[in-house]
Amino acid sequence: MIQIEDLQPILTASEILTELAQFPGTQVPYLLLGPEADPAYRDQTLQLSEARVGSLVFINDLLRSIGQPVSAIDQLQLTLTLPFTVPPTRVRELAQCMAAFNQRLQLGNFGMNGQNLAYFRYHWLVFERQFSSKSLLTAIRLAYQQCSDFGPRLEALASGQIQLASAID
Amino acid sequence: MSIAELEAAGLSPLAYFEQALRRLNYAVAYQPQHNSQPEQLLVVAGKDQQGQKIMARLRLLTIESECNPEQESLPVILENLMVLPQTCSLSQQADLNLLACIFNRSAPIGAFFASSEWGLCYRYQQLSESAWISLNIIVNTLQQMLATSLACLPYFNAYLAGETISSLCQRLESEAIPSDDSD
Repeated sequence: MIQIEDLQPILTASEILTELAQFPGTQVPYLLLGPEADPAYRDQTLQLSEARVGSLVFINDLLRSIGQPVSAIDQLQLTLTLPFTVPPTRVRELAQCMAAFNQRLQLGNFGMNGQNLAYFRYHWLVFERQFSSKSLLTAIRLAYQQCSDFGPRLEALASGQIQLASAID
Repeated sequence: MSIAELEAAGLSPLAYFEQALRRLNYAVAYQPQHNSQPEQLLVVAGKDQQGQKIMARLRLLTIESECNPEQESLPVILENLMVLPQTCSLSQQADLNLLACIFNRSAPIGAFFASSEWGLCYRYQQLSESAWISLNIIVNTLQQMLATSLACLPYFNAYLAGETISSLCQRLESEAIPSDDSD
């Protein structure tokens, strides 16, 4: 069965920067997708690139590490962290804006974690971890593309530069 | 039947999924492409605590990507839009989307949202190399989305019944819905 580290050469061959890491205090491996990971979006993501990092992890690896049962259908979780935190006063508007964007996204969804850090995430259901390199690269590129398309508006709304209506428009 | 045989018989993937899901005792309706509407499959995924049907709409979408210079064939996406039976007003949408944002942190797949077009929904998109997606994946998606919806619906219902959003957020911090702060 394919392991997370097996994806590294596929991504490297496509000039997507990766680093193999482990979740703190566990043996669970994941791939860190570096800033400016995809050369196709390097220019577009210049504004966000400094802080935009992502991760790839098989959820079954996490479940096994805490003794939970796993099924043949695993999830490859792709997360891209957007480079801003939402001020508490703007969380409600950001939630509205993300909901509007999430209806339009081809893949995945935007969200905010408990510390109001904005992220994009896609949980990809994969049967026995069988998927093609092409599909994997499509998912990652699409994720970056969507962050490039929608991320700046989320960031501008979070900073108060634009209003909700113009962010969604 | 093999995929080649199904295609030779003129069956589209969604039309085949209708038959396959029906055999698994799902109530299903296949709607072929009509004018600008793409073909879709309507599935009764289950019922909520009040016995109201929870419907799912399945559609196959092609990927629109700016990053496909070779114009090679791209994978497809099976969109599963689960429409929850709760109705909400425009003024309730912002609060519902705030709740959705909290639930989406720990949702195993997909995301909730409230919209004026659909009301309260839960959406997941399955990326696949081929439109002939594994039935295992389709059923697993329906089951996971239904289970997640049923876990979150009492909170949405509590809000729609008048509990304040601040009270609900406090409750969520102390109750079973976990918050994934690992992002």
